[in-house]
Amino acid sequence: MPSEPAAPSRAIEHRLHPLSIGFSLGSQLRRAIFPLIVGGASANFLGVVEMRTVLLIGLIPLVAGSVVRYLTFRYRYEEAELVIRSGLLFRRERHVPYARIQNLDAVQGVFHRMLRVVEVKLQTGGGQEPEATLTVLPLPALEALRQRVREGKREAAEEAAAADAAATAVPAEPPADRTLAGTAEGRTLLHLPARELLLHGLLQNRGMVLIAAAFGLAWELGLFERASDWIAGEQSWIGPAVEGAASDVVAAGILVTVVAVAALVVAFVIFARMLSVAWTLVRLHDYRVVRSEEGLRATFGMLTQVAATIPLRRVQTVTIHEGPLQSWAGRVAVGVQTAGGSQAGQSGNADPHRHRLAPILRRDRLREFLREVIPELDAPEVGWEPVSPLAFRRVVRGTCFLATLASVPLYFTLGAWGVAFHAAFLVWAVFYARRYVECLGWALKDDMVWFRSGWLWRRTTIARYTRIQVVALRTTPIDRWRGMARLLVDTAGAGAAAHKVDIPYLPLDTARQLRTHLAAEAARTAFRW
Amino acid sequence: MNESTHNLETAGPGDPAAPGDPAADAIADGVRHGLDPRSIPLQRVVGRIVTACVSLPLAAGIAVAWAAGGPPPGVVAAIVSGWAVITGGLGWWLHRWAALHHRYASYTVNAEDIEIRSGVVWRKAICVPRSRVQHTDVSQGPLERRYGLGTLGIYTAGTDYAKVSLDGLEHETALRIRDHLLPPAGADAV
Repeated sequence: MPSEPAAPSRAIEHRLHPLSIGFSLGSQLRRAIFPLIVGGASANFLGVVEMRTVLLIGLIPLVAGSVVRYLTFRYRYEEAELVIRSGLLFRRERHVPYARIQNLDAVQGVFHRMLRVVEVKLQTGGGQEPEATLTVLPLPALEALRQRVREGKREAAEEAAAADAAATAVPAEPPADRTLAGTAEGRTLLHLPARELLLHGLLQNRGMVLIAAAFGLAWELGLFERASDWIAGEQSWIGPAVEGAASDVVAAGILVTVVAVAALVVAFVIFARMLSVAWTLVRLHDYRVVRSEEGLRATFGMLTQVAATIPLRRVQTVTIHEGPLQSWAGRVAVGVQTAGGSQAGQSGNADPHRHRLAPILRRDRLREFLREVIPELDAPEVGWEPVSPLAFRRVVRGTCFLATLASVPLYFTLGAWGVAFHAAFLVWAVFYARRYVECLGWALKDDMVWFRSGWLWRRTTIARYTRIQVVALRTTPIDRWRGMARLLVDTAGAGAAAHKVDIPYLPLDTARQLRTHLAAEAARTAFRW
Repeated sequence: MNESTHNLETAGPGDPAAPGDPAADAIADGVRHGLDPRSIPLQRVVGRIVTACVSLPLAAGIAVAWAAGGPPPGVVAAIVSGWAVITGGLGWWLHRWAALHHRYASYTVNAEDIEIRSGVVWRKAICVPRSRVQHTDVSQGPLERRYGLGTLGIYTAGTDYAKVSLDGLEHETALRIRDHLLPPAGADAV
């Protein structure tokens, strides 16, 4: 037990729930189990030690670490900040001002719910990692924490408002934000019933991801070798049966073979989609977005329950996703990027922000929903400006090159038939290039910059002028030759995989004007975290 | 990368670098400036160091292989001439590159933003509005100190351009731009 000199404040120090030891051990085990097994297996293979010994020795530091973490972890509420102390040898004391806490997310898995505890993640402006993770708190402590953060934020906001009133030339946006919040506390913006979730599962391709994950896991564990040994084994009937069936099909002619392969593919796709539906129904069960005083609050999950908040002020850009199946079903998805929140692609199952804010949304409700996220937004319809008329020629050259590259092996394998495939690929390449360029578009409306790209998978990203950080104009040698430029509008919190306002093939003059306009608009306003 | 005492003196909050101050506005002339010509010799020195770092280990490796009596003399001659081509080519290219880089790099300080251009083949013009500058720093490495140059780093809340740096500035100029970019006192709106 650390016997620190008395803290300068009289605030009571709180500790985590004693079950924290178990939960943190569990999460560490999940991370360490693979290296341990691999290490143990290789040690076993080399005949140094038994695998069991390696696992046991590996467990000791994990257990010790979890216990020490629980014993040293303390947090207390100061007037304007949350103070978190942790560490035995390397002591750490973090001061997190309430006003800086952007997201306060709660994650509850099955065990958490059985034991009535919750894992809490605090996120602040900087960095991609949560500022602090409280594993785990009893439920009443979460409520207390929420309450303190809410109060602290309100006080800070009032102070900021007073400062705003004193200073001039400050956008009137945050106060408007507050009045809106005041009248609309706890309004449900989006609720996904099972029917919508079913549709969502069908439309998106989660199943493939799950299959790929299962495949990887099976590979790691060497299940394939065992399975193939078993199937091809002497006593097994599966191997000969499959072999016999396959040779029967092949013997029956090319048509039957094609049909059989197609049937297998269809069966696989159906299986993947069913997995996807099941996964969606469990993961996003009772998906709900509520507009509250703190901002937008998304709650979902059947086994692991997640509650994530997104303060409206932190929303940097909004992206509307439309896939071919989605648009056929009249649905869209809406994702938001927030400053400092975690981004898509971050690992960890418990990350509450991995999902789009609106995973599936009726197209006719898009306008209403967007206006809740961006109050200044009038309507999601804009007059799109095209990119340079020379863009098609550039794109089509690229796609035709790819089509030719893809058909080279076909010439070798199919001979004369390769010509037919090559021609078909080229037609597709031209068609695709035409549609792709047609779908590229940008617009300026309502003090926002809009960018749309993609033909089948179309994404539209909206960035308010107040959220623009840097405007960059880039040219490649071909750009300069053709008198074009690429314009990137950088915002906070745009992950690596996120769709950004990154407009290619702009006529140089347009790009320059746009750059000047956007930079001036950004310079006019102040950015707030 | 240490800051001189001079810039620590001028970096205090509320110093006379606020807009409206003639000394601060003089730097914001809206004219495109090239980098300091001294950045060419500096880049060339860096280029020579890089060349040495690549070619000396190679030479050492060849010498060891030769001393160990490995390959026949003909092969050794081919390897040595290959080494000479790599060293000479790299040295020449980095020598030329310094001038090319200098030719296409420039900066423009406007009243409300700063634009930095760079790149020879893939060129970019990065425009940072003054209101989006989170903080700035001016650093000076040992070589830069010898040439009286400095590097200006501009930090924003952005993602791809979270840090925009401008090297090859006269140290004094870098400090003046830094002072110009510093947010005016009292505008700390975070």
